[in-house]
Amino acid sequence: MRKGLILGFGLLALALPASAQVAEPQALTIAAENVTAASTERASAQAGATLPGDVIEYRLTFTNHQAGAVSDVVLNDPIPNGLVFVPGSVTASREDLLVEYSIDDGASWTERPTVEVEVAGEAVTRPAPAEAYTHVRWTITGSVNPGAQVTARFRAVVAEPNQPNSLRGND
Amino acid sequence: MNRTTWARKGSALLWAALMGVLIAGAGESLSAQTAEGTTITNVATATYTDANGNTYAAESGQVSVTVGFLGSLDVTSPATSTPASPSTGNTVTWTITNNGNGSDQVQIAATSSDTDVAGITGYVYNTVTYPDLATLNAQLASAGDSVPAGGSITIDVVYDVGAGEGGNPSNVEVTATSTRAGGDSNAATTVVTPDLTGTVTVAADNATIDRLPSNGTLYVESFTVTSNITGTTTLDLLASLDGTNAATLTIQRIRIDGGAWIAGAGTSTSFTSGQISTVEVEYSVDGAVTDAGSSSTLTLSATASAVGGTPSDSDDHAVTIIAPLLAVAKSVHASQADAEAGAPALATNPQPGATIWYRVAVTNSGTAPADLSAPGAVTDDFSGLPVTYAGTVTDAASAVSFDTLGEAGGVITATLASLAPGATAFFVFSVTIN
Repeated sequence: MRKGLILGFGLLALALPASAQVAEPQALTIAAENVTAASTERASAQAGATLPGDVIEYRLTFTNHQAGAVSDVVLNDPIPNGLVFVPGSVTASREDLLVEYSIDDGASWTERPTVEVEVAGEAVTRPAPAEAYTHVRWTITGSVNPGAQVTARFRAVVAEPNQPNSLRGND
Repeated sequence: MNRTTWARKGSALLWAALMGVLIAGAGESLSAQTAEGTTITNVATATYTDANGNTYAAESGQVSVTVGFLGSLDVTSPATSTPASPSTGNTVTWTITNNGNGSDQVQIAATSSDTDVAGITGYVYNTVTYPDLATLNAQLASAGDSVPAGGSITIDVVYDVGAGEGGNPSNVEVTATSTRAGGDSNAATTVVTPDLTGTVTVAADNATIDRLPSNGTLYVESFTVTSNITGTTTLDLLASLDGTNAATLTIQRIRIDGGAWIAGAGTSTSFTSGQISTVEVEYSVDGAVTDAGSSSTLTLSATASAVGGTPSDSDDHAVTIIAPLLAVAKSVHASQADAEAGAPALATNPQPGATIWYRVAVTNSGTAPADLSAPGAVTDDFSGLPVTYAGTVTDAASAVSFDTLGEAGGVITATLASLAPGATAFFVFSVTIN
């Protein structure tokens, strides 16, 4: 039995064109699952709690409720304040998509974020640390048929003491 | 030292801005972790374009999780403490820091691995002294004594140190345990080692001692060694000789409290605090009788080299070599009275048939008593002379009497067990001229 699954909701009314602001189903939903809580025996008082150090898996589900196919679908998820992105945790239900990341609050994107580290006075390029990630973005290169769904997942850790990301804002 | 920059290529301005965030984060306290009760909301957006080219922007979805309590206690204390032994009312402070993400409440446990070294007598919390853990924990359990996230409390452990415990360690451990579900437990230990300090004293049982040349006999001098060190420690004991005639003595071996002899001039042994022991040093006087009158110094030193300040003390015996020195004087007189008085001497040559008196005086002018107890130690053999024993030999007038005195076959023999330095013993006897 899976524990810690939290279903989100889409702010559909804020997203649709004015002409379509009627009771239409939401295109984007998010669910969060506490992977750590699901796999760890905890005292009953904490069985459902989310604790620092827990791994949260977010599942974004995009559904095309339009009558026709849609394209240029982009899912953009800023890493929330208090979470540290888990590099390599991103998955998706389709292969025709581009996954990119930002380490500068969405100002720029790349598939492999890097940082420059000064070692013995020399600038060395290294993979960006997990704490540097600010956003993850999926760009579907193909079209999504009516009624079809695209699911994207990533994981993040609830920040523990001294993790800078516990202070980073979520714009 | 490495300096990390979140430098995405061609985006210096952005990474500089991000660095500002990271630098700020590095200066935050541990309480910067995600606090209990924090709601983390993930808001994602989707954009897409329909078949007619209409763009649907910023359609959002969100989900929230609320962070629960995760306890994390950190207990710290000084690594060591060095109180005096004995002493009372010593304190060591334990700091209990709540590194959890919410307020916490703790209970305390405390142990001492050696209660003679560190016997816990109470606890001080918020300036109030609690006699035992039960009363302390009752206070800590009260509603107003929770520890906020990032906050800390201090507990002073009050303890007494027994006598003679210097250098003996005791691990005093304080454990703090959260009372909340999901709480933590942590402990810290301070090693209490009472200061090892104090003095040692050495006292010779005699300031001076007179010894005959050994001639095979070994002498023993005693010293009283007292450890006033605050704990058990090793004393280095070393006998030595000094003086102009030190070479006339040789240290043979040493022993403590009548134990086994240890060859050589030194040994190291453990002394408890307050221990008083007798250290004996055996030596020989190798000088000859001609060295009589010379002195040497036999010293015993005791040093606590493992104790701060290296306390040490010594004392000595002045050993003087002594020996008897005998002189024999013989004179002849006209009468017993003259012989016993030692004067006047016989003035004229005696005629055959005359009776004359001899006086034989033995004087010890040395520094040691003379043993004249051997048979025939003092003799006067006149058997080859033209005289005949007249029947009288006496020491009645001598201040020192012989033990035996007699005549046999023309030989006077005398013995005396001990003739003191400076003393004279004499006897007189009569013979008739043939």
